[in-house]
Amino acid sequence: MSWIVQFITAVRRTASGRIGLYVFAFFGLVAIFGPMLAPYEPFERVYHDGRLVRLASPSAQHWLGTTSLGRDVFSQMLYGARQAMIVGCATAIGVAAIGVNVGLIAGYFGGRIDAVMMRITDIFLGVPFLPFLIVVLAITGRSTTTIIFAMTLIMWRAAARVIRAQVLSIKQMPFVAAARTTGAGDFTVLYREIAPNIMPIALVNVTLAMAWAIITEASIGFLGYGDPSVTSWGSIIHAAYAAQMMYRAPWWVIPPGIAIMVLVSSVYFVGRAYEHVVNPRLAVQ
Amino acid sequence: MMAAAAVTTPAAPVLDVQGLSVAFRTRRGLAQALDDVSLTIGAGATVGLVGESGCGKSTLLKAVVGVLGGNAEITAGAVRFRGLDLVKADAETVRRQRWKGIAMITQSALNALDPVLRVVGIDPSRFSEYPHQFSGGMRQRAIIAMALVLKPDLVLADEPTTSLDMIVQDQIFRRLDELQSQLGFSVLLVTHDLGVVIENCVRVAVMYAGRIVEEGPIAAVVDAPRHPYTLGLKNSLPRLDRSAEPIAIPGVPPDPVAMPKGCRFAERCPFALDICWRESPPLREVAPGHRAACHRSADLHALRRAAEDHRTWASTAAARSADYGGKR
Amino acid sequence: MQRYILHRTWQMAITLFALMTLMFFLFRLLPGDPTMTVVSSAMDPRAQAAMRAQFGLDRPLLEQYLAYLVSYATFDFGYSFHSSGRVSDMLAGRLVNTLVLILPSMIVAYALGTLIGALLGWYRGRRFEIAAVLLATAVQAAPLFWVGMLAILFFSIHLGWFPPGHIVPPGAFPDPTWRMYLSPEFFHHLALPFVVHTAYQLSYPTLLMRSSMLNTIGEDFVEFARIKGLRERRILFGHAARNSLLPVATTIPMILGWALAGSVVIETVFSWPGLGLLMIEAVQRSDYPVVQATFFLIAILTILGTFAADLLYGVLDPRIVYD
Repeated sequence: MSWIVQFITAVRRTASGRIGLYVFAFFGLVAIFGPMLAPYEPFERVYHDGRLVRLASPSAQHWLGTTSLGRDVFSQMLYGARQAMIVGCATAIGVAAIGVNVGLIAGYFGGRIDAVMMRITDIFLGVPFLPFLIVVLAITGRSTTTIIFAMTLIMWRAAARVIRAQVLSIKQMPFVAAARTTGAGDFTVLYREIAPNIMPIALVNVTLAMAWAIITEASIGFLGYGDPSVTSWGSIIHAAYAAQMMYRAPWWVIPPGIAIMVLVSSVYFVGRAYEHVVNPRLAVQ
Repeated sequence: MMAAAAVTTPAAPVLDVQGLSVAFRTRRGLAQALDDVSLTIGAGATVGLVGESGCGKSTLLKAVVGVLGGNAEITAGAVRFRGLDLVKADAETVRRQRWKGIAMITQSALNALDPVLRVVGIDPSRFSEYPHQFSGGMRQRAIIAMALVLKPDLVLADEPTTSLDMIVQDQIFRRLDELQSQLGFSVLLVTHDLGVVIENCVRVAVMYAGRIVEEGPIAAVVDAPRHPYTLGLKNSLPRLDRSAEPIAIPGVPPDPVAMPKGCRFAERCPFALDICWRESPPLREVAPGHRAACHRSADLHALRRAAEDHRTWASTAAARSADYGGKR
Repeated sequence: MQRYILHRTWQMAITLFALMTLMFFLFRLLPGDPTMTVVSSAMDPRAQAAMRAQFGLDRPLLEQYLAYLVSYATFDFGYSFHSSGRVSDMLAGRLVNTLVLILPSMIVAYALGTLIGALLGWYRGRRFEIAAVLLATAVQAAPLFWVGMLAILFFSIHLGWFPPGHIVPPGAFPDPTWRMYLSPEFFHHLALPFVVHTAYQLSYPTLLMRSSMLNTIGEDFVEFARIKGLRERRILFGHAARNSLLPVATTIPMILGWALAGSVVIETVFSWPGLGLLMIEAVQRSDYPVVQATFFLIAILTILGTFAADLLYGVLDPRIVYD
């Protein structure tokens, strides 16, 4: 677990890393506490004097205005943060879990295991992701789990490839041979000696996976294939699009995009700050 | 053996470095890489510059060609090449002098060549003939040829034979010597190996911690050194007449960001007196054409025997401090 | 080199085969009768009979599978449920529309991106470099559909400079021929989606090239090029940039694939009548033959694009050919 500490320390060393970390933490807090603090329910139609508050521009009661169905945009944004964080973190963890292990095993054992694993990743190269996901969602129904699952399935390949390459070069180093001579078994060497050394590059990949997952989930939501029982930032914009109101109610459409942009940027900043540890050449003198 | 073709005439030197000081802006502060360095090279002469890693020899070379990095500052001095001050000249003028006027021989061709250019345009059947496939000697001959193609007046040789064995080294220098007789260029030979300098140079400058500490004709500096560091360097040479082991100078050079006020060598010097810690000795003439920066240069001939005893070096401040590099 | 081309072609064939097999089984998973992916009761009875025969709907699974492969390999996708026309007739125009938007913008994005990235890496530390990196990161972090909507909001709705969508004014070209693609209306409508897509795709190669440059600049040969008296510009472009290109070039196949897959998004935002939008519309209308056909075509484009990019890479870096 020391690599988590190392990660946070390294990231905090640069200004951009600190900003990224704090912004991300802020979104984390919003994700956890936001829905409890939200003034309205996301699907709640708000009435005032018995009349539906449709398409209200931002005001004191509705900080980000309302939608064409009288729903409070600000509350929707808070709930959307939770969805974005869940999807992002779940995909990141999934990609890390599968990608790291496949990369370690393929890189270390080489030979046929390596060939088979790499072949599996290559078979699906020709499949365009978004169209594929749409078809799958049309078949199995729209659920967050399916989306996370599908995204993980696509992203682990890139991570595995990078980690495998790293393992190939670490494998040659003297300390690995030294560990083996002390009688350590293959898996011990792999997980106790080699794994900690690939953690930096794995973490960088994880941040990329998270960033991509958040954007992709938003895109799916925008196209109308998001989980209907949940509010996500993408689905907020989809609702505006479906009501053909996207150019007449900027308060409805602009905030979700900004939120996505800020959250994903923070993830990129953290990843880039950590990259300096992995590749010192990128560090400023 | 030595290119004594042209007598060094101070009146028409090919390279005249005067009082050059260079500092680097680093996160920890201003690092002094060169401090008031002066060096003159006459036409057709081979001058050696010897010192350990980090003493500033590479910085001096880079300063001469003008490829110091963005964080470097030339705080004082002049670098006159054929009379033209390259420090004051504009970038384009300096660029024009490169390779046609001043060329460089580096340690390895591998670093000098553009990787893609190596690959593109090469007939695949000649796969075995990549630069890294050539022997070290052949590579260096290629580098020398490359350096001389535009017939420069000055060749800067940066550790040209460090990774080569003695026999190849000898061949390389002979070749260089022949070419020098034919073409008449001057050579600034930079190395940490005093032996190479003795074999090939008319004059030598000894550098330590960014300063020239001794400078003069090769015979004088080697036979009668006037600076303790030079004595120490001599000790590192293997000798045929004694079975004694070469002696290393204990300690490390001072931190460039925090250079001491007094003599920079005091910490590692077995003959340091109080004045050495307080005042930095200037580079003064101690014999015709021979300069040294040491408060005790006059006494040094008497201390020469002591310097050859390893116990003398064990008594320095650096050797006595618990960890080398003590005062940081 | 020939062996390389052969190898890549073989890989392409396998990927295509795997794709079609995947599609066959995937679409059979749709709720309901598997035959409903090809025939619908709303269709003309003769058409229904023809489809049953073509796709072997009364035959065992293996024969259906082979019939499917043959049909798709010959680009025969049956009839659309929605328009009752042959699917293949609908696709040509849509295919061109997608390509005419995606391909040029990818080319420009990479060309411009590597150029800007090289300059950013070379002039590292200057204010414009820091600002540019921040901007590129922000653009990469924003979702494409949102950026597109903002662009429409500002340049089309607010300033009125460009139309908010479609490829030509509705009704302007009732029978579109290749002439449409040369008309001023076409370019007027292409401008905004093209610029948005290019600007969006620009940030990745820019940042990647900048990273690569930073690595290259530290190498000895760059300093040595300077010592040899070469001009700064020559060193920047002829040596440093050229050596930094390879890692960026390796990403072209992957990014091209993503861009083609992403056509569903950009075409939706701009109502651009390409394959992506057609697929979205078809899924909404449960027009399964069209869904399968568009999916297939997008995948083919992706695979072909990857193949072409790999060939290009083989030319750029002869070393890869000998692996």
